[in-house]
Amino acid sequence: MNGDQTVDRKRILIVDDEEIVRYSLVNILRSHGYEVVDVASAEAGLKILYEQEFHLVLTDLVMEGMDGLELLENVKVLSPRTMVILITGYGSLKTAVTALRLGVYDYLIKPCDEDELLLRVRRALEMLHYGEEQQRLQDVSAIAKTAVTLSDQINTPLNIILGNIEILQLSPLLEHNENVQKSLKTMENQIFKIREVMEKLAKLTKAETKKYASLSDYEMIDLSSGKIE
Amino acid sequence: MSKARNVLVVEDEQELTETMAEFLRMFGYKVYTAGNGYEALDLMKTTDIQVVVSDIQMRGMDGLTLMGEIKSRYPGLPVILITGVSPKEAKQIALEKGADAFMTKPFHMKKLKHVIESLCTKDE
Repeated sequence: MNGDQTVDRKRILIVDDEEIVRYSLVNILRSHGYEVVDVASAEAGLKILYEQEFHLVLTDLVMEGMDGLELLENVKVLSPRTMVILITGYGSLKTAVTALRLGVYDYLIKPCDEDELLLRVRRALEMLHYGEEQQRLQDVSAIAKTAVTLSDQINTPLNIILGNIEILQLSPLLEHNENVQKSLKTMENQIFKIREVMEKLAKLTKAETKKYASLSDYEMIDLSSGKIE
Repeated sequence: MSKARNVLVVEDEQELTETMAEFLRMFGYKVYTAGNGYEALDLMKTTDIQVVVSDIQMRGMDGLTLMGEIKSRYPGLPVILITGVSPKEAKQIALEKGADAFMTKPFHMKKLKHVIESLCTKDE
């Protein structure tokens, strides 16, 4: 992570029934530029999740009333894109592994050290961003594929029309009929106008696809090796 | 044109095949047709062909694969590839793989005839 000032205002919700834990987490994350809201129960967390959007939820596993797993299940329904990190003691490690299967992005073991916390939070938020880019890339490449098929599907019939215009132009019956020849020429010209439009469309789609492809490459290198070539 | 030339047109859009065939026949070419690469290779076993015109995008065996087969079975036989998609990349691939000519749809039949003529006189 580079300077703290460069962190854009990501919104994090902290859910923990221990005030001291919340206090510590809030302080660390706020001092690193995150926008943090904290609540003392899963119920309160759920209520605020109904009203506001968060990029990340950091929740304790064992709490009175609704526990962290239940909260997680609700978050996944309510706001599927929100990342969830579970905070747990050593004793509940097994549950944490189950939680991973339920869609938790990561888990932290109490007491967690500041660097570890910041690393996990940063990684979760990066993954969120990566997921969004992937989705956009998928959308764009679907459009590109459609444009390619469309281009062939339009150019082939155009070719059939053009070929038949040429056959008519050479027909001995029509060869000297000026009006017919003029009409055929007009039709021929229109075919190439349609082709020009198709070319422009193809170029436009290609440029868009490239833009997102390069973005995605960048993200992939960044995440897998931690360095950018 | 001094003597009849046998042209094989391989294209899965039948109406385009017929259009190309009709135009070329007006100029004395003997035109054979096939709907994909497999049909084309089958036909070539029994028919003497001087030029092949093939679409790239076809179900079954596509144009590039067909061209590869033709180049290994009938070295020196000219192949003209045609396509309806992304001209620049397709052209580069087609020429790299050994196409003698490349045309982007929609093309003029006159131009196709001209290309066939130039490829036929080249080997005379």
